[in-house]
Amino acid sequence: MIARQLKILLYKVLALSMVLAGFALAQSDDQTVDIRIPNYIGLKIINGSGNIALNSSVAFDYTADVNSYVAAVEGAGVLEPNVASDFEDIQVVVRRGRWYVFVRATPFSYTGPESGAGLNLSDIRVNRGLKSGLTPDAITARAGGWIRPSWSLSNNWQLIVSDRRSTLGWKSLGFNALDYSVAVQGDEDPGEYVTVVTYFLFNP
Amino acid sequence: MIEPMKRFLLLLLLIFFMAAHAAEIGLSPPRLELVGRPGETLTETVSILTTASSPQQIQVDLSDWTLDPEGNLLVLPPASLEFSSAAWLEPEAGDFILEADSSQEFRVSVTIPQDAAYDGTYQSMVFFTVVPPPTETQGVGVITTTRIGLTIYVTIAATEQGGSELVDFFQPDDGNLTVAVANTGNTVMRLGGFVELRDEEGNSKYRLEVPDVPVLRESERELSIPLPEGIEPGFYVALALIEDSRGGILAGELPIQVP
Repeated sequence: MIARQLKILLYKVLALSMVLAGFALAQSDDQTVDIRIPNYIGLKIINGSGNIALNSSVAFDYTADVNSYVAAVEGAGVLEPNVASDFEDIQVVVRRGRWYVFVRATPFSYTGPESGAGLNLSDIRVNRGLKSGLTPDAITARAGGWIRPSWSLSNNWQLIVSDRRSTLGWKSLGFNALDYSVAVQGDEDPGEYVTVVTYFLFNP
Repeated sequence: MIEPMKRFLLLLLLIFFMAAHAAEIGLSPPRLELVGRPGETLTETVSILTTASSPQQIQVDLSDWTLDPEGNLLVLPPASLEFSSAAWLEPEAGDFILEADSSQEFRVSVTIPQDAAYDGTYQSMVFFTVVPPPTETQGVGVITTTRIGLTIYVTIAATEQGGSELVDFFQPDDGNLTVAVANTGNTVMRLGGFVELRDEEGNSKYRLEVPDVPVLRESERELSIPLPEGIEPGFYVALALIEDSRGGILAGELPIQVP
């Protein structure tokens, strides 16, 4: 009789334990937190309003300002852009890994009465931040960041910036349209010279 | 009466299209690392991104590329390199319109030739270039635009051979260390790890990260590792522990003097 009562008691304790255990299990149910960070890169040219540039360009239109052209030929031999452009800054974003920005220009397309002699791609030069005052400090302040301070346009890809880690958001490459200049000697055929300059971001 | 109106509408359309270009392009992910068997076709999707307020025309081109030992990029015509995968690629379009403020999916298919002679990793690149608008530039004009590269590595399954060596470790100047790593295998490997600077008592003083860079198959790569700015002058032992993404560890030790 006592044994039977003990057995019943044990069953009750066991049943109660199972209920409590089930309750406890329900209370400690696992929840997975899944966070996925995308790997991405981007390159943009922005205008003076901070928006994406619609028609970014750099123009040296001296057809209506011949005196300045002549003065440049006789003086420093350098012309600066004189037409408002849509190129206020160029910025890059890279999530991780070493990255590079290269630049290349297409050969001039010439429209005019002559053959388009006297002006070469290499006559167009970019001096980073010289006139714009922009800086690539966010890139160069860290070990491993590298910039080319100035370059002449070329039909070959030229490396102008590299870094070996995330940019931690959009960062300026430190130049804009104002930092372009063109060297003139006075023997350029009159007419229009147009080149397309491509900035290329690579994150191998 | 109708003709002048048509001309006016045509002019408006032309102005709209000339303005409907911008210069921003983004890509996620920036590279694909694919593994497949001969004869297999692999299809992957990447996202082309922009926050521009107007649509952009994007031109798609294929290219070969390689790196010299200093890590400089050489861009070459497609299918011109021995380990090029450009001829195996089929992008879904040659050009397309990227809608304003959007993320657009773009498919790239890779068909590995049914040829047992291929082994290891082959690489190529897909360029996405914002097509600049026509311009009415007078005088000398520089039209600027942006391009982004999708790097594609294709590895032939079951043909991979590993192997890497730390071939040199030196101090080229007061501000840098250089490690030279050889990839003796036939697949691309990525580097990681660190260089630790220990003082004369063996205490760890600085830990310099080894950058995440690829070392292409059967090639060497020199990596410059800048010493920390403001590093205390003195004697250090630089201990390099470089991780090969295929599982190897390369170790080297170099006594250095910082003036």
